[in-house]
Formats: sequence, C-alpha cells, structure tokens
Amino acid sequence: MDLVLKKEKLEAEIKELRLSLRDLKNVDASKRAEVGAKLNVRMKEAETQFYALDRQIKQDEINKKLQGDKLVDITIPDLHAEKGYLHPITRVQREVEEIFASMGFIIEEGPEIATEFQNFDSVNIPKNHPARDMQDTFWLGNGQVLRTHTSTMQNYFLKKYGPEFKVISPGRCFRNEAVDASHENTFFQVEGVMVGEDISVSNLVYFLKNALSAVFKKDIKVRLRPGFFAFVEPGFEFDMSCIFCGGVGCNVCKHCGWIEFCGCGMVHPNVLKMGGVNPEKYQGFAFGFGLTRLAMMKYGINEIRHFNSGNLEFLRSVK
Amino acid sequence: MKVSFNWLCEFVNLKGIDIKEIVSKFSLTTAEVEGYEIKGAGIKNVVVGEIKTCERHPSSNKPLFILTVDQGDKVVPVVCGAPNCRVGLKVAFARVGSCLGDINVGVAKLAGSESQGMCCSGRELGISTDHDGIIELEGNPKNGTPIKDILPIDDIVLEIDNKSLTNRPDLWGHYGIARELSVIFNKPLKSLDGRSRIDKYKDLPKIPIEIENKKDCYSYGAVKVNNITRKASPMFMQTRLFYCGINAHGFLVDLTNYIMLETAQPNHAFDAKHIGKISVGNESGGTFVTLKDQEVSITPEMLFIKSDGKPVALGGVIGGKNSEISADTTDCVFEFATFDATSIRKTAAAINTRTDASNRYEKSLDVNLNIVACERTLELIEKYDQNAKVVSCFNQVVAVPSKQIAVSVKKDYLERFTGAKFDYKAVERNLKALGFNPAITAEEIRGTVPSWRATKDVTCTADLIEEIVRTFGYDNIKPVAPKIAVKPIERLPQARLATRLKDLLCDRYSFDEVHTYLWNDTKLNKQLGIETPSYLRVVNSCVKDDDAIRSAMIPSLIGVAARNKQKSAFNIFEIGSVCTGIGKDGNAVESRVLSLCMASKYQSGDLLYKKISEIVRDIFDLAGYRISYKIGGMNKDNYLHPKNNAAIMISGKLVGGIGIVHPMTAGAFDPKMNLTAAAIHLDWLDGLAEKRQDSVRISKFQKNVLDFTFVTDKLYGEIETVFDKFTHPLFMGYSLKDVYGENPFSYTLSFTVGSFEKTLTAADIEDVHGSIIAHGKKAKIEIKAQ
Repeated sequence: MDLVLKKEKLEAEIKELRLSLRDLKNVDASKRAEVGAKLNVRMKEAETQFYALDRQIKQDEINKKLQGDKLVDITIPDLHAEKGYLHPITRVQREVEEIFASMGFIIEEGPEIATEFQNFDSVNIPKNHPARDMQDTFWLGNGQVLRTHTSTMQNYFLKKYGPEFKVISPGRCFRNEAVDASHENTFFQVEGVMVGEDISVSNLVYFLKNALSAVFKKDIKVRLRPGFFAFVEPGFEFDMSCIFCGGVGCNVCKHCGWIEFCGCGMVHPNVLKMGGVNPEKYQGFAFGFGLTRLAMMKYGINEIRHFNSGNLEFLRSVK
Repeated sequence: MKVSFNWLCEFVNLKGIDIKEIVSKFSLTTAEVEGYEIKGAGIKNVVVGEIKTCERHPSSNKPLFILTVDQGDKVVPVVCGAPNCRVGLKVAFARVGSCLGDINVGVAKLAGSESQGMCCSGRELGISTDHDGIIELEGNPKNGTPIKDILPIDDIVLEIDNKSLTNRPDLWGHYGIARELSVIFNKPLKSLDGRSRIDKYKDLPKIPIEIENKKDCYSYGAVKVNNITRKASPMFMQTRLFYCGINAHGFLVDLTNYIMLETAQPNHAFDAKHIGKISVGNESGGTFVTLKDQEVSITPEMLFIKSDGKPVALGGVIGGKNSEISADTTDCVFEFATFDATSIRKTAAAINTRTDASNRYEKSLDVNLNIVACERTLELIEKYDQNAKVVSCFNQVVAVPSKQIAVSVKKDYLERFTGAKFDYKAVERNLKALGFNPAITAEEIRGTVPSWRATKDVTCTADLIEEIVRTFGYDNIKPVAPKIAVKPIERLPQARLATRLKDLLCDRYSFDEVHTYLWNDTKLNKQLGIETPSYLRVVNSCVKDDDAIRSAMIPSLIGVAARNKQKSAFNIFEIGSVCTGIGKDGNAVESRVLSLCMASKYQSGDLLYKKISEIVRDIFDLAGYRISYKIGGMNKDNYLHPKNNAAIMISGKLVGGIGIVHPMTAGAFDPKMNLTAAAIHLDWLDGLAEKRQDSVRISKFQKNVLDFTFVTDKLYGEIETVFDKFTHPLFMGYSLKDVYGENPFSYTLSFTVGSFEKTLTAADIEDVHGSIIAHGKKAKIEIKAQ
C-alpha cells in the first residue's frame, strides 16, 4: 500500500481514538477501565507506527533529492582568488626573529646609510686598515657609506642596551661589486650581539646551533674555524653541516660536508670600549650571517638576482 | 697563496701524513685551504740521460739534431730539436715507455730517423714555462737515475685563501706555514735563527745607510755581493717558484722571489753600479720610472730608496728602472727592509700597482725578518754560485725596533670566556712552538709575543686566548646555554607597525611584497618621464649611472610595475628606505617608507585610486592611525596625476602622498595600464597614534541617532575637518552615511547622541540638534532645506 495512504489512515484512526478516549466518561463505569486500557494500548501503537511512517516518507523524499544532487568538485581550486605573498626575505626574517625572540633576544633594525665611524671605526676597522679592502664599499658624496654590514649597529646597541643584553638586527646591506647569479650589491644580513659578565664562545655555539636547527627543522651540526674579522677576537668562521647531503659530501658543499654559514667571534675589547662597556668585566659574542643566503638555502633558490627583481612570477613561486 | 708541500717539508717533516688531514687540520686551526693540486703524477719513468754524440740532421730545414743518449742501461738514438743540444750534456730523458702527462713516449720516426725517447724541456715536465731548450742538469748525476730523485717534480700545491691570512703577516711565507704545521702535528721545526754568514762578514766595510723618514721606514738593511756569474737558477728553485705561480727570470730575480716566498720578507736586488750612499725618505716632486716602465708622479707621501740622493726604488712597492739588474749584472746590492704598512698601502693604491712585496708589507712585517732573509740569501748564493764574493757586511739600520709585548690570561677567565676545559700541558707545548715562550702557573698563563706576531696581530688577552684555543682545538668547545637573568622582551613599536601593515596588505588586500634598490633607476625613470630629486650620490658605484640615492619610493614601485607589465592586474608594496635630505650634521636624513602600488588593465584609474585610498585609510586605522587626505597635496610630483593626487595627513601632519600615476608615465610602458600609488613615511608617525580606549563603555540608556543632510560644494574632507571639532556633552560620535549629487554635494551625516547617566529628554535632543546646525553654519555648511 502507498505509504502516504497508510499514513492518512493511521492519522484518521488516531483522531478517532482521541475522540473515543475523550468519550470514555460515557462508558459504563464497570467496563471503563478495561476499555480505556485497550484504547490506550492501541493509541500508543498507532502513534508509533504513524511517526515511523512519517520519518520514512521524509527519508524517501530526501533520498530522492540526494540522488538528483550534483557532485561538487572541491578539488578545483579557486580560479579567481587573489593572493598576496610576503617577500621570501620577510618570511625567513620572521622565522629567524621568532626563534631569537623566543630565546630572549631584542630585535631592532637600523638605518642603511651609515657614517664612516659606524661602518668601520666603531667595529675596530680604523682608516688604512687592510680589512677595509675586504668590503667593497659604496661611498656617498657626503662622506657617508651604504653600510657594508649590519655590524654598524654594534656600537649603538652597546650604548643603548649595554652592558648586559642580547639583540639581533636584521637589515639591508650593500657591497659595491658586480652583480651575477651569486653576487648582489644589495642583500640582507642579521647581526647578533650578546654581552654579559659570563658570556662564552660555547654560548655563541649554542645560540647559532639552535637557531639553525630551528630554521632547517633538523639537528644541524656546527663547527668553528679560525676567521679574521676586525671586530671580534678570537674570530671564527662558522660552518654548518651541509643541509643538502647531511654531511657526506655533495656539489653544494664541494664534497666536504660543511657549508660556510657566517663569521662570528667574541666582541673585540676595542669595540666594547668604544661602546662604553668595560672589557675587563664584560665580554660577549657577535655574529653576522646572510639572510639572503639563508633564504636561498632554505628555498633552494640559486639565482640571487631574483630577490630584488620585483619579478612577481618568482616572488609568488616561493612557497 | 700557493704553498709547496716539498718546501714546507724542508722545515718540518710531514712525510707520511695524509694530505687530506693536513688540509683539514690547517683549515680548522689556522687558515682556510681552498684546495690542493697534486703535481708530477703524470711524469713517469723519466731518467737522467747523457748526450754522447750530437750531429746536425742532414735532411731537415729546421735545426734538428741526431743524438745518441746514454739512458743508464743502454745508449739509444734520439732526434731532438732543442738548440742547446751538445755532447756531454746531462738531460731529463723520457725513455721509451715513459709518460709526460698525456704523452706516452714510444719509438718514433722523425725526419726519417728513428728516435727512441726524448730529451725534455721544463714545460714538458710541467715544472716551468720554458720550452726554448731542454733542461740542463747540474751536479753530474748518474745516468739512469730517476729524474724525480734529483728534481722536486712530485709535489702537492696547497692553495690558501688570502683573505684568511689578512691578519697574519707571518703566514705569507713557507716558513710561517711550516711553523703552524709543526704546532698542529707536534713535529720539530727547523730553526732559521742562525746568523753565521752575517757574522762571518761582519768586519767587511758597510754600505752607508741613512733613514730620513723614521716614521714610514722601520728598518733598512743591505749587503753587497760581487761576481755573481750564475745565470739560470737551479732547477729545484725554478720548479718550486713555478708551482707557487712565479715564472723563472734568471738567478738573481728568482733568488729574491724565492727568499720572499720562503721567509715572507720582500727583498730587492739592485745593480751595484747604480748604488752609492743609501738614504730612505721622501721627495718633493718630479717623476719616477718603475722597472715595469710605469711613470709615477711623485707625491710627498711616497717613500723612496735613494742612492746618493737620487730615487732608485719606490720603497716596499717596486724597484726603479734606473737601478734594475740586467742580464750582465754581476755585482748586486740586496735590500732587506721593513716599511710602515699604511704608507705602503697608500703608495700602492696611489700608483695603482700592488705587488707581492706591497701585499706583504701591508700586513705589517717584523723587522727581525730582515736578518733571517739576508742569512738565507747569502746561504743560497754561497751554495749555488761559488764564484760570488760577499764584499760588504750586512748593515741594518733600525728606526722602529720590534715591540716587546707581554700577554697573559687567567686560567679561570680563559675557561669562562670559552666555556671549555684545557689540558695545560698541551697548551704550554703549543704556545712554546708558536714562539710565545710561555710560563704557566696554577692560576695564570703568561707569555711574550714573538716578534713576527707582535707587529699588529697579537696585542691583548683576547689574542692570546685565540692562540690557546685554536691550537688546542675549537672542537673542544661544546654548545652551552648561558646562565642569565630572564627579562621580558618587547618588540619595538616601529617593527610591530611594519609587521602589522605587511600582514594586512598581504592577507586582507592581496598585495605582493617586493624589494627594490636604494637608488633611482636612472634609465627607466628617464624612459617613463619620472623626475625625482636625489640629495645624495654614490661616488664610486660600479652600477653604471645608478648613483642617485632615491628620495621617493613610488618611482621604484612604478619600475616594478613596468617590469610586470605582461600581467593584467596586480598589487605590490615595499617597506624601504629613502633619503629625504642632508641634515645639519652633514649626514643623510633617512626615512622608512611604506609604498603601495595598484595596477590594472581593466579597472579605471579613478576606481583604483578610490580603492587604494580606502586601503591606506583602513590599514592605518587598524594600526591605530587616523588618516585624512589633502587633495592636490602632491602636485609637485610630476609622475602623479595633476588633479587626482593628495597629501596623506595624520593629525594635521604630512606623512605621505597618494595619487593616480600620471598617464604619461603609466602609458609609457603600457597604454592600457592604470596605476595608482601611495607612500607613507613610517618614521614620521611617531606620536601620531590615536589614543583609543582600551575597553569601550556602553551606556545602558537609550542612544539617539540624528541624521543631517548638508548641501555644500565643499569636498568631504573639509566637512570632516569641521565636524571633527564638534563637541557637546551629549555627543558620542558621527559617521558619514551617504553622499549624492555633485557640486553641490549632499552629505548625510549620522550623529549619535546619548548619556551614561540618563535617558535623553526631548529638550536634551533639541539642544544637541541646535548645536550641530549652529556648528555647521559657523563653517558655512548649511543643512538641506526641508
């Protein structure tokens, strides 16, 4: 039988039963209880059947509709979505900042145009020091320079936060050299300085190792080699185990298993003195690494000119 | 710098140690080795041969000889074209079956004659560039002796990174490198401290020397040797020099180079006939011709070696044409001197000629090296030219003696400074081998800096620590977290603002972040007709033409837009620096600027302009700043629309500009492209943030909203300026509800009025109502007639 018809029949019966129950008072008192019980049992039965039927009918309707529903292909991406991307440098910079901030470092950027004092003298590179030759400098008409390194900030930090602090300073730096696939005249560095009463070389190793491991999301092995940078003594070249081959040797690390990561060392007593910090009592470490280079390693970019090209094709492709 | 392993082994015995270990340990302890090259591996089975007979080949036009050569085990026929073939000559002979690099020597027919082997030139053995004749062996070696037993053909050449030697004057010669290796591998180092030859000649007459400029010339020493008849230098010397990158030029020149590469002491040989009384000082003018035929205009800073008052060499940089040794020079004056590093640097830079000598002097050399180098020079002359005769004593005049520097470090400090523990027996041994003459007590390490390190390199405790730690091994330093007090770190407001703005632009408005250069793209700006001032120029830029530091960012972003013109629509931004002028102190006034640019080929400029103005208003509102626009405020920028441009103001202060990019500029790279741009100086926002309530108070009483429509020909910005100043105790704020019409415009403003204390009465509302109308009227803004 048609379910709807069945339902209508039941509905009519329920109505009737309701009337009968209402008229129960007219039934002979001796039979009233028996009749009433019978009616109630039937009423319960009818109602249960009615609701079951009702649900069934609705279900059938929905099932019918579902059969007709179209499949929505959510595997198709939004063809008209507009997306904006932060520059790859900004993204790596934020990652580095987050890591160092989590270890209690202040983050402060600085100006790109520096005085000769800031760029050279304040980091122990006096006039006519051969170390000045190591940096191809853009000299400006007013005697200032486009800073060749973020170390310009060391003196400022020592004066502002000294004698005990830890800070990193990311920012643009400039070298007056020909541009090719691996050389840019405009690039980003991160300077790090920590000064205190008991700061040691092993602390320097600790922070750099942890930062690198966090950036590359794996345990990075590190080592120190002697290096010369006028603003530190002793100075080190800081190597990290090659992230591409894990240290067994590949083309990137020239088969030695290590990649030169940055220059670092213990802040030179002269630099501390010029920053108003007593080198007898305090010491500290400083490092400066290439943020642009880190971004290249992290994203596997081998053409440095892309970064300043404004080429949206490239900038959007770095995920 | 190239370093010969054989040469090193003359001073420290490293035989048997794997070269890879030498490279690795030297890199980790001293300086970076960039690589190494194995020499001589391709030379096999070459022996000493003797030319027994030598005849001109009858049927050849070229000079060709038919020889018989005794190769030890037998005498073989050989055809050879070398002009110096002669009977009795001992030669390097490549037997049948030998190898010369890629050449496998076999029996050959040359000009019809059989040749069983070949006599080798220096080039064929890979030990010089000489191919004018065959090698002439000295000392009558036995025929058949393997050539490698008498010539140092087998060698390993290490290439050391010059940059990592900048601070180490002592490492610019083989002996210094050998000293480091003797420490690293704990092997004895041969001493070069002898002066037996110098002492032997001490009673001979002196060459008169006077140092006039005692600031720039630290020491000057000279010795005279006559009757040097030897022309070519010994093959071992030629080979080592060649492996280290220097070609042979004859005995005298080779000798001076050899001494320099060995001891790091530059030296010079003058032809004695041009040298009289020597003085070292400056000259007031004139010109000087170097032995490379360069004519130099003399400046008062240049230091000259003078003979009887006449300049004969530019001290420490290059010798003079007028005193140069020639092919027939037999009598020489050898110079061993030390000059001020800065003076040498300046002179070398001034004449744009950097030499091996000036490179070394620039590192600050030790005056005591004069003696070491002289002793070695005399030793080699005595050994390789028995006819030579030393005719003067070695006269050394010292103006600036080497410094005696005592250094010390407390063990406790050393361990705190490095975070490592030390084996002090090893420390003592290393310092001793480095020449520090150490004394180690229970608390302290003391030493004196050896003269070859005392010129600049090692002066203080930190330097001594470096010596101790690097030779002990940096791998003994393990990562350790510092023990320090914890302090909360707050981000600086400028950095937070930049982060916020970048995120809003990317996430909310789909802008791409780009980076551009600090200088104007002169060529592109010209093409696009952009005129933008520059207050500062780079004076030595190697980026051609682009020497003008930018004062505005918008042109940079227009440049990026031009480079992306193939796209139909995009939004870009950058936070970068500009220089807006020169301050009173002479320094650049630098400012951080946020610049935005919207580009579209299918949306009108008007629409984009409206949009960008809303975005700027919105992102700054979210960052806490209330922006207003002053129409026409950027008229001076020729790359903006003459009408649709505005100054960006916060609290009445100019902080930036906004506008449609001039169609002449935008159209220059694509006529369909519409561009709008804005720039805001983030550094100028200090103190301009709105004071906003931390928590909003909400009145529990009913608020009332009163709408007014004002009819005026004024732009909305002016209306806003007027009503921003409206005050009334019951006034809670207003907003723009609707705009219609144009000239005059109708602006409908909704005013919210209410109280925290009570429900307003009709009279209260009437009072505010009246005040608003009166306030408008005062500024000649009338409400619409009902």
